[in-house]
Parts: sequence; C-alpha cells; structure tokens
Amino acid sequence: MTHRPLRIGIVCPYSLDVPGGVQAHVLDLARALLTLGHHVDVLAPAGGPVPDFVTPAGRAVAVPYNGSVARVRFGPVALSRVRRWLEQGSRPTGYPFDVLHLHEPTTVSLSVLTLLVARGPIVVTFHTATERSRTLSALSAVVRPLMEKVTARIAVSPTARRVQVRHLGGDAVEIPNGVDVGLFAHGPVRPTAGEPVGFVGRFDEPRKGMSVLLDAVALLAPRRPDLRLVVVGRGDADALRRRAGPVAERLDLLGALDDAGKAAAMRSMDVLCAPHRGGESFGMVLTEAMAAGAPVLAADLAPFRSVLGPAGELFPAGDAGALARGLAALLDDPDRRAALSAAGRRRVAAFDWPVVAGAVVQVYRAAVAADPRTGTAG
Amino acid sequence: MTTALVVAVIVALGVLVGAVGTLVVGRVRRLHRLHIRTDAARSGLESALARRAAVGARLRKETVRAAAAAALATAGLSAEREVRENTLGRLLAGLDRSALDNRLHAELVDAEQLVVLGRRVHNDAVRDTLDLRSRRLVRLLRLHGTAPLPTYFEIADPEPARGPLTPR
Repeated sequence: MTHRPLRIGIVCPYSLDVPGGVQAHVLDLARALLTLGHHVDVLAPAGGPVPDFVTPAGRAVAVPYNGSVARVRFGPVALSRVRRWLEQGSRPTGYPFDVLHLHEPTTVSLSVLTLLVARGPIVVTFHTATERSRTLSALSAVVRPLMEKVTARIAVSPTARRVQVRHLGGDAVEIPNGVDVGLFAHGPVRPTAGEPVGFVGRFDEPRKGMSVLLDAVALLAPRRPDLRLVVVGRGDADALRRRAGPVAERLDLLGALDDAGKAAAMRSMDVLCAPHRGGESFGMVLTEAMAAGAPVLAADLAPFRSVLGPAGELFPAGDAGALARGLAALLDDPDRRAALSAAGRRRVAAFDWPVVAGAVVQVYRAAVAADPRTGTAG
Repeated sequence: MTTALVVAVIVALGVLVGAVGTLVVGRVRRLHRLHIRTDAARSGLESALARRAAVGARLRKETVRAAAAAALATAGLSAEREVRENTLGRLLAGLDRSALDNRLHAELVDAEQLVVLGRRVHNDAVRDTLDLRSRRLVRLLRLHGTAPLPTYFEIADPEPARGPLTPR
C-alpha cells in the first residue's frame, strides 16, 4: 500500500545522554519510520551529540522512577522549548505535524508538557508496567483531564496495557517493541569455551534477578565443570564477584557492549537466561536473543510469556532450584536447544522493526482520520 | 461578633462560589474538547467503514458486494449500521483470500485494520465523554449544553484479530 508520507513529531521523555529502553525504542522507531518514507522529528532531553532528526531540549535532571533513575526535563523553560518545537513544525517544510507521538505520557516530563499545549491528533505509548504504580494512581486525578486529549493509545505488552487501563481508564492497542532482527541474526560469533549460559542487562538491579541465577549456577557448578556464566551489561563487577563467592571464577564479565558486541555474545550462548523477578513490561532481551538464535530460559512473568510464546522455556520467577533444573535439562539436550533456536527465529519476525513501525503507522493514520482540528463541533 | 460572623459567612460563600466556578469552567472546557474529539473520531470511523465497504464492492463474490452496497447505503453510526457492518465484516472474514490479487488483498487488509483502529479511537472518545458527562456537577448544571449523548459503535473485530496487533 502506498500512502501519503506523514509528518510525525515524536517526544521522548528521557535523556538521550544515557542509555535506556525507551530512548532506544524512540530512536529505532524514528529510523524505521524514516525508512518507510515518513518525515520524523524527535524532541528529547539531550546535552551531547544527537542524530539529525532530533531536536535537543536541553540537559535533564535525575529523578528516581520505577526502581531506576530517570533523567527528565520539566518546568517553564522546557515548556517554552516544547512550544517552539511545535511552532517550528515538521522539518524541512515547517508544516504542522500531522500527528504527535508521546512516549510515557504520564511521567513528569516533556511528554506531559507537550500534552498540555498540543492540538491535533495525539498517539501515546505506555512502556512501563509497574503493577504497584502508586505514583500513577496518585497522579491520575491530575493526568486524566490531559489524557482526554489523546486520540489513540499504544501499549507495548498486555501487562503495560492492563496497568494503563486500570490506572487511567480507556483502552490501548497492543504493539510490541521492535528489534533489529538483521543486526542480531547475522554477524560474527564471540569465541567461547565450555557451556556458556548468558545474562544480559544491568546485573546489579535486584529486579533483574542476577542473584537467582548465581544461586542456580552454584547448584550446578559441582557437576558441570565447563559451565560458564557470560554477563553482558553494566554494574559493579567487584560486588558481583563477591556475591558469586565460590562460582566467581565461572563468570565472564563483558561489561556494557554496543549492539553488535551484544549480538555476537548472544549468538555464542548455549542458553540465554532471563531470571527477572518482575517490574518488566516487555523484555527486549528476549526478542534480541530470539533474533540471535539463542535458546531462551526465562522467568515465568506475564510479559515474558506473551513475548516468547512457545519459542522459549519458563521457570517460576525467583526459584533458583527450578532454574538450575531447567538449565541442566537444556544444556543436556542439544536437539531441544536447536528447536528453540529455530522457533525463536521464526517468532521474532513479527517483532522486526519494519513490521512494528508499519503497525504504528496504521495507528497514526487512524488518529489522523480523527483529527480534532478538522472536527465539526468547533 | 455578629458582624464578624456575617463577614466570615460572606467570605466563605465567596470562596465556595469561586471554587465551584473554577470547577465549572474547567468541566465545560473539557466537555467541549471531548465533544470535538468524539465528532472527529466519528467521522474518522465513518470514512474507515466507507473505505472498507468500497473495497468490498470491488470483490467478485456477489454476497459480499451486496453487503458492501447495503453498508454504504446506511448513513451515520446507527444500530442498523452496526448490523450491516457486522454482516459485511463476517462475509469478508469468510472470504477465500488466496483467490484475490495481491494489490486488492493488501487494500482489503489495510481497510480492515483501519476499521478496527477507527472503532477503537471512536469508542475511546465516547468512553471519555460519557465518563465526564456522568459526573454529578455536569448533569446537575447541564454543562454539556445541547450536545447529544454519544454512543459506542459495537461491531465484532475480525477473528483472529487482523489488526496490527501482537502475535499471540
């Protein structure tokens, strides 16, 4: 189908100066939309260098949010920056945006400021799925009138959708996070020895469940001399080694890697383990692993279930014994691993960015068709 | 003593009137915005339905073309329209798509997706409007003016969901 290219304005709430899931999502989505032939402008807090489709909105301040630290931009100066960006319109033509796409619209950030002053069709995406989101509940009285300006809502997972329905009312279209399948599927394999089991993520965040995995490795280590734990991600390495105790020698700490390095490491893993304890809304690491062909063993969390489907194995979250048994069974069964790898590669095609961005464009078109600026009532 | 009491009562009344006034102005503004949004969403949904029916009218199967013509002939989002669009949707879902040429098939899938999304956008707007209009202050003071009460548009989404949704 060929349609008129859309002029799309995307607002990212978190600073591009630090890595993060939402930031990566926004930039990847913008690139995928540009590839599809649309005009895309991104407004985001940033102090450093940014891609040319980004308008930096200044440096961000750090606030604790959802168990992490979010870097956001707020206040009257930020508000006037938003106004200017909207007035400037779509580059290079300067026409007004056909549609605005705000991410995490309920966080105190550029997104909510844009919601405050914007007119026209607005699409929002909810990323977070904190079940115990008291902040969101407390804010709903303030945010609800603003949310009435939203034309269409997207949630990245059934969990994110449920949370937003419960706290803000209204419904949301489920469109998953995208992944660059090609980048993860093809390329060099990091040389490894023995039985490499992988972990990818910030390992010193408790909700990522590294301690569960370490306990499982400790259970398996005596009878599996070749077992290695390959860790990709940032965190305090010394503290991790201390926590690992006797199995510290089994750790291969690769630190934070770029996507290509991460992909090469994932392609080398016999099993990718996602031992999270909760607080996840999607599970990018799972789609990346599927794209890289790594068999996945994940905690049985609702968002992980819906991403993996039949293409991965699950264990009860937090249960180191069950994780150890699941790992041992997979490591002893190369046929099962090959089957999981193949199933993952098939399943991940639905999460490839061109597919996901195409689905997002459909929501944009539905929103543009309901443009309140052309409404008949006023 | 009494003078102080009278002054206090007047001040309290003034504060109350001010507070209610602010609330009323806020509510009216929100209602106005919601009515505009709902109207726009309705016209968006109507054009999505019209487009789906137009694609249906180009198909070879006689029953589909008849259902498409019937849907196109109905104006507005009435209960009758729901019945006719449901009939069309069911016939389209039961269609043997392998017989369609690629271009027509792509157009049909696209039109169907936009109906699913258009209905979602419309019903979201209706829900928000009904929610605010059910508030006591709004009903009591009839802040909605002469705007008619919007209604949901209920038709079955194609199964399995052919919208741009997640794999399940």
